[in-house]
Amino acid sequence: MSWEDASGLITVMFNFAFFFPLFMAWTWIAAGLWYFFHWERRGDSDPEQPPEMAAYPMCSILAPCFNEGDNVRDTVEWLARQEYPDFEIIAINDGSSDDTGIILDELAQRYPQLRVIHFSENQGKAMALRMGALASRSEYLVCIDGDAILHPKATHWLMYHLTSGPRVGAVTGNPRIRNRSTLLGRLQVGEFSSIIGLIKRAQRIYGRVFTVSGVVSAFRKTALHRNRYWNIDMVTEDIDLTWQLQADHWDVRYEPNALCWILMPETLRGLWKQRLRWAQGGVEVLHRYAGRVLSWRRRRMWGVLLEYALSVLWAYTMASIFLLYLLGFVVTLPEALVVPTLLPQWTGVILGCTCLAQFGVSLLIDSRYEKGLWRVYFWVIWYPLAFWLISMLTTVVAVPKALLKRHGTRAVWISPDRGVRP
Amino acid sequence: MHDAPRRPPIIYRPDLQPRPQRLLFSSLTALAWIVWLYLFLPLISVLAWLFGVDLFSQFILGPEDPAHLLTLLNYFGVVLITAVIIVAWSSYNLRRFGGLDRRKTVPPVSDAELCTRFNIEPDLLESLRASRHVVLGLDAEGQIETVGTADSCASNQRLRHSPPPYPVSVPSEPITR
Repeated sequence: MSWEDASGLITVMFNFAFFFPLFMAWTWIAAGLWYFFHWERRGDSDPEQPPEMAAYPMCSILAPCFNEGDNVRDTVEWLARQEYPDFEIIAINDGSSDDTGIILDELAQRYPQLRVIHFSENQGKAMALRMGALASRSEYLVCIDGDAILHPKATHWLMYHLTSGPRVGAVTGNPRIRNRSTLLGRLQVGEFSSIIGLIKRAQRIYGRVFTVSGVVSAFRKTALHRNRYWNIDMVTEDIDLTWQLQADHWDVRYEPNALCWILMPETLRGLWKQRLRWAQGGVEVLHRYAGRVLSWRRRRMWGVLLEYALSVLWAYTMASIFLLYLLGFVVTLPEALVVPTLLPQWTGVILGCTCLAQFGVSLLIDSRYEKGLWRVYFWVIWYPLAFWLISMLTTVVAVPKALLKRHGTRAVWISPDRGVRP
Repeated sequence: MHDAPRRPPIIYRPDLQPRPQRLLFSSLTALAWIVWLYLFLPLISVLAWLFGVDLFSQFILGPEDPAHLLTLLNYFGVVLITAVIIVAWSSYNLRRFGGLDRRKTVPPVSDAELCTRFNIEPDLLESLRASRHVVLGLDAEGQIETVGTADSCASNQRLRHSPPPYPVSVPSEPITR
């Protein structure tokens, strides 16, 4: 028996379950390639050589830190080496219980550009960023996590966009995974290149981006002030802010040349918690802004809205297919609900080739930013399939979590593990 | 050809994983590779048939219907159409909006506006901006309650502005034009 032997409702479900990820993958591939050849590869610029700017206004770099004793020294040292004429660094120690505060005070003595704000109690990342923005001396804010490492030219790249047009409200950079000791670390290297990076490029082509990367993004303070800054009751303040700004007609850009090296969880538990939070954040945003962005004046948001709404619907369709398939072993189902097999025939070949194409394209694009990535890709060539499986599981769990959340619940720090460390 | 950009050291220490985890991840990788290769079975089967191993394909993998190849062509068509739409849409936008900014510049947020939103006195804003080291105490609403340096934490003065506190979750509708 094959997929084609299914009938009725199941056929519709099968077609959607199969075609949606495939269609999205090829859309990302096509748009990613176009973006690369048309925008990214043009001119002489690369991460080390950003274009000249007409003026170099001051920039404030905000780094919220919560229990970052192991990482904050590296983070600040790389920030202090930013190759941009005029900047200050504001580190916000969010009531850490480790030695983050002491290290920051020490670093402030060494680096005159560093200013430190301590919170007497833990307040969450959104609140740390708000206070950083309030204390900043510049209209332009570059925000990075307290365990991330910013490429010395990244501030220049981000500022180049913020100052390039009156309605550029935010720019997000290119996060690169630093820790690759385990399978999970390598998976995420592949994922950030072949899925997340391609999605951002594609979204820039067809309209609006779904989210800035909270770990490296830059904002115009005025754009934040016209809205609500970082909302303290959303589990993912970055997705929320992206939607706020775009609904207010600000342009949100993606700059792959602004590199930022990040640490990601390398345990199954850590990864699951992080992905669940991302999924819940997406659903919360959909719930809060879907109605608002449906208006004709915000029609540019429809593409990303439709993409996300369909992906939620897809997760439930796929989960139902799995469920019906398993149920078929236990009870006799009506014919319209029988799932003959989960194993695809030719469709499988197409899925397999799509994985290859996705990695091939991202290898081509990412060779500008890092050499030798194929060594990582080899182990995880199957990952695009797993990606859809993980996103199905997290979405199915996240929807009820997001909808049942008590309104106004304050989001606090969730720091997953940062991988295997020497 | 550009040089590879500077970067911090990559953390690559598989030897530091606990043994059970290493074993689990190796098995997962092997399993995933088998599943992925399994997807290509029909292809292998057709190749085998082309090379005359039809008994193999008939009895082990089942006969393949050539109609499937037609389906493949259909997929290819959809992908091609999608790509054309993407390029056309991008080019249209570039022609229509490229190089032209019809939007008005929004004036930068003023200090007075910041003070109102965060419900603080202008003096406090000034001192926050001037300080290189400050300790903030916030209340449950996220309102600045106390300000001090590390050693003056005990003697914090209350700094709240007199009118009712501006809610942190600001207006329910952002101001749009």
